[in-house]
Amino acid sequence: MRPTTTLRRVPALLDDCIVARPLTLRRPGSVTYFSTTSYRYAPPTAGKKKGTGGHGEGPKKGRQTLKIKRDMRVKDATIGTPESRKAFRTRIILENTNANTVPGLDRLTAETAFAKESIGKVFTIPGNHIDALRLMGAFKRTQGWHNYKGPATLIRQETWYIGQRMNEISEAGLGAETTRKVIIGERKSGKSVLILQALSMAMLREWVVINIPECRELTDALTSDYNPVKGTDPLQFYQKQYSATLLDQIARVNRTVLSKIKVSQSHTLPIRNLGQMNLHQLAEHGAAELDLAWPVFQALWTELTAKNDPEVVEKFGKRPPVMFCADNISYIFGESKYEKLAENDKLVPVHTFDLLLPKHYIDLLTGTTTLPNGGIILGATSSSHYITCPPLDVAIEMGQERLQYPDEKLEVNDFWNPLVKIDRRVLDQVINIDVLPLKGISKEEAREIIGYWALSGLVRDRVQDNYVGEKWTMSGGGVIGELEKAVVRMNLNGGT
Amino acid sequence: MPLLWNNNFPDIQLVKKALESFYGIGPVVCRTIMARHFINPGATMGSLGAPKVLELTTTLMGMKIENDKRGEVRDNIKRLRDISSYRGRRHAMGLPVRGQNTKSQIQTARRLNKINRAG
Repeated sequence: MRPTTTLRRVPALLDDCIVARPLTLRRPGSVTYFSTTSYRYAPPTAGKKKGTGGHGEGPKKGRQTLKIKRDMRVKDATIGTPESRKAFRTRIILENTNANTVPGLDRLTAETAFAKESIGKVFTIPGNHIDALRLMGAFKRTQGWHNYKGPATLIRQETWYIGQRMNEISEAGLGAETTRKVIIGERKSGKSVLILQALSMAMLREWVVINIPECRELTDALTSDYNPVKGTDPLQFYQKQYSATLLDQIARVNRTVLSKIKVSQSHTLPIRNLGQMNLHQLAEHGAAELDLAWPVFQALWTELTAKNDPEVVEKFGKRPPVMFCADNISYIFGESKYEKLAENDKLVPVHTFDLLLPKHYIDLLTGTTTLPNGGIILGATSSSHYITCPPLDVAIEMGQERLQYPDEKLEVNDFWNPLVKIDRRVLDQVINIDVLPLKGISKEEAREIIGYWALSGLVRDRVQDNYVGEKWTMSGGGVIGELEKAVVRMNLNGGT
Repeated sequence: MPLLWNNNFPDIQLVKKALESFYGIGPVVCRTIMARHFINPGATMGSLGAPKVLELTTTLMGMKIENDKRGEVRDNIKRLRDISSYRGRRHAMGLPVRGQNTKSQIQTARRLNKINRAG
């Protein structure tokens, strides 16, 4: 066995002990201990510093463990409540302070909105309508309103067509017809904006305006509750929360119109002084109390659709026509996400036709119920958030065919793919719907709107005929959303 | 903080999540209960209201959940053991019951397959 270093040093250590050092060599004040080692008496080496707790030196005195400071930055920090974050995410910006003010831009008025000369011209949306349209959810985030100084819109052929129908209905008075249209068209063809224009024009005419901004919310089972109506077969449901939201929207937007109309009929509602109320107060009551929301909506609708007989008008006020619009309607023609138990305790989805609020709108759109004082019912399909709905597709196809060949008798079987499962309940209801197809805008309209974008400072090129023609072609023949993408958004950050 | 079957739940808690927190209520049973009481999947405990919470509690009281359900599971395993079935023996040995391989890991079986299963 090899001797250790210590053992080898034993003779030298013994020498150290035997030969005592003189006391004078000791440092003053130092204590001498008996030791087998001599080097401990040596003075500390100059220049060697005590440890500062750096890397590799172990924990400081008093500390139990070595703690190395970590990167304390919080990753993926979430600021605010989920509600505030959603509000921020879904906010609608309608103004760009950096955009130029377009000189000579007229405001949409009762005169300009309905004139034939206005086709192909851009008008600003009146200031008092902006808040109302925002409340109704008519502005969508993807429509690019945030790029311009203020909301302005192009009056196109179809807008004018709706305006004409409104003129006819307003002039006809009692017994006026109801126009029902399903707006169809490819993605970004301006279907939702046409609804916005229709709502704005209806407000100019002082009609009652109601808008369902997204039909998906009626059936996704996340936005609203559902409650059964006793004694119905099949079981019907009303949606308290959505009805209250809708009533709140109606009350705020139509305040001026509804305040002039008094309650004319008797309703079985637990509301005091109901007979002395106007319709605005009635709607506010429904919006405030969830349990009353649906009965109040029914009462309000009964009041709005009461016939404008002379004695009724004199005593309670004239009932104006109604503009009722809904966007993304394919969601309300089929099964919803709500569930109920069948007789054998099996879970089955609730059909949207058993939900009273969507059914109320569907009956109006398909002509099952009528509006005695006239009105316009509009529905828009969506290509972005689309749910497959075979019966509606069949009905739309038939509607297009009917537009092209008005005298031809159409057979459902010619449009019905037998390999696709189809809901007859829906098909029977929607088979006769009228469609309003939206295509691209004309080159003249395109030149006008590109001119507006250029004056807003958002077009880099010189706006000439060849430029307009090129962009018009690039956008699939004037599909307005694509045109804006090609002209404006390509110049902006990331084309958004 | 609605009180559901002697448990407090925060207002923002989804009803679905609250119900599924009880032993013996899984996704399908939960959907059935919610459909029976007409509660939409997006409903939160705060939006239910006292009468509906009371109805739910009554329904839960009539069901076999929590300790009763645990007891039922234990009884089922005990019955298998008593009749000396293969499944009963495997439970008793803490081994997989349904033909799984035992070459590598059987941690879940070791944890759960007992005569007096905890939960």
